[in-house]
Amino acid sequence: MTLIMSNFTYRQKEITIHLLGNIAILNLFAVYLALYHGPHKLVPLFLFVSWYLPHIYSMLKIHTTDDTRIDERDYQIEAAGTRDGFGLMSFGVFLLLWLRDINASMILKELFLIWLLSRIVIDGKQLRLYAGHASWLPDGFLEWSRRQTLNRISKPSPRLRATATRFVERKGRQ
Amino acid sequence: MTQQDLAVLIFVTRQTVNAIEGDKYSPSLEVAFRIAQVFGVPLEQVFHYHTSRGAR
Repeated sequence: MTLIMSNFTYRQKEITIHLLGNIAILNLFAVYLALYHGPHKLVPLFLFVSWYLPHIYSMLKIHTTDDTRIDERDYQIEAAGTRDGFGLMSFGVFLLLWLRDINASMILKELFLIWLLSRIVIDGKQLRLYAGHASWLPDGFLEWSRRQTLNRISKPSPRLRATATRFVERKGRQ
Repeated sequence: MTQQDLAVLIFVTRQTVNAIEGDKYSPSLEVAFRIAQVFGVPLEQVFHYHTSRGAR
């Protein structure tokens, strides 16, 4: 029986531990939100624990025999994950500002939740890309979408063709 | 030459070499040129661009 993550690269192990840790914190935070509607005193604690996670897998780095180098593909995947996560974060903050009055003591919990969800999206996207997929969408749908785009480009509509022809004729007369 | 040997020579990880071979990743120009240099062949001999790639 092969161990889970035994065929993962160091980077994949790192991201997986970070993702699982954040999901665990999210679950705990959900329980906290359900039980305590008012005070937000424990949010910094959750934030600290989440920020401390890198120290956990930095200990993994000390004891691992994996190749711990990070190359261009890792940076590219990290950028793709960060793009999605920050997009979610921006949307969440916009939604929060739109729906709620700005009151620092009340929105701290929501901000932390948005940040946590964005971290989970960042890690999830990276793991999906490492698994060989191109995006969140199913691979079959992506291929179909690319074919449709290619067909539209290679076979312009009659109206577009007529416009292009008129443009070329007008240029020729000048 | 193993994937690990090639990875060391072109300064990437073995997994990246595996992804390049499996058509799951397109390397940067710099890495592509390094690969060609390692094998001592022109770039066109190592990498081919399929014009019908998007139609697959």
